[in-house]
Amino acid sequence: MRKKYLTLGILAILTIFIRTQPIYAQSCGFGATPLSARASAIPGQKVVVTWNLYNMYSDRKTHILINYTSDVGWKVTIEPQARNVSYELPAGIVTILENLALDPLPPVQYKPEVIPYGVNYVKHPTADLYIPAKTVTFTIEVPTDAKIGERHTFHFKAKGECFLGTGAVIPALELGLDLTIDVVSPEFYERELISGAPWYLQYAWAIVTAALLVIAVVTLIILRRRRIPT
Amino acid sequence: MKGGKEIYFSLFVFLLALTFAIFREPFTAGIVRITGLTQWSSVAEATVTVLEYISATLFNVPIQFGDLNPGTSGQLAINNPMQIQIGGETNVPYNITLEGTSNFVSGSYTFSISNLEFNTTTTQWTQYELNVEKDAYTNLPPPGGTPVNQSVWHRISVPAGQVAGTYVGNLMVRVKKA
Repeated sequence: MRKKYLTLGILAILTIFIRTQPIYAQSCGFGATPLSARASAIPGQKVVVTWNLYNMYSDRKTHILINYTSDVGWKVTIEPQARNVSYELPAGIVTILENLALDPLPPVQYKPEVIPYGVNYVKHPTADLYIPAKTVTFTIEVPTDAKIGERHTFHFKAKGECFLGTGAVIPALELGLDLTIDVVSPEFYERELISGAPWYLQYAWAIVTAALLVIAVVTLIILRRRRIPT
Repeated sequence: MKGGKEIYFSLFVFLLALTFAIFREPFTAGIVRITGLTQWSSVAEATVTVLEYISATLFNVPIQFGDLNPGTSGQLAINNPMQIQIGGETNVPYNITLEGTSNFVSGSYTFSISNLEFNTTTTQWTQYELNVEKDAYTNLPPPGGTPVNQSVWHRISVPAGQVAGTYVGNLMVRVKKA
């Protein structure tokens, strides 16, 4: 009889424990930094922007596909390039188009001494930790015929997807980076402007010239009047 | 030669006027420099850029409805709500939008994504539209170190007479700096 109650008690405790566990079976996501950037470039120059993407909270790999929109048709290169990658899953082999895949990695206290290419450790903004991130590099070529003073915007989008198994609605997640590029002159110059001087100094040359002309005309008139009586 | 001096004087004055007209720029600049009357503003500025971070993780996904009969209306997802967890390191205010990116497809059979609805308030349901971004949450404050969950409930209606099959639809969750 005691054994029966003991077994029932253990079962009850286990049931309560299982019921109170979160039912979040699967999770998919990622993070990004920075979210906006600004650059000044001269015609013919290349603008290189690095974007850090990380996965701290998912329970699985997040597959990232990068895309962009822009108000101008300048040449943009994305590194790493999008390519088809095949993965072996319990359900079979699946091929996905991706630029990179982010493994779930927790933040670390110290940066490793050797950091592989394409990896970065970004400072955690709220803790004394570093977030392991993968970098995406955008290279934007400013054409040589770009006009000085032009401003163009680029919106880069990272779409993250995970292999979540079967379901009626499969969601994906998207984060973005806004980049603004100003086309500037190749040379720095600083010209003194006189717009702040009072009008009589701004137009001093005209006033002096006019005064001299008046004096000259008056002198001529006087001269003529003196000549007439003779 | 009467009045010769006056003629020379007039010529001299004319030449002087001409000289001023030709060399007006250095002359004016000289005045400005001497009097110091250009507009100057001197403000000491220190600027610093704080890097922006944003992260989001979807929980309770994919969205499941189980087996439904054709003609079923307003059936809630069995794993409601979908949780969008905003990482504690996010340091910008943000918006969350949702967009249906495909209709429900099973082989060659389909039905519209507009049969799927979401809500964030438990009172007002919003229909998905194909490739149309809909606001779920707007201008939420940064989490400030602790992750926060934003919930989204889903329900579906299956058109009457829909051909049997396992239908799958896709949606996009966008988390953007507000």
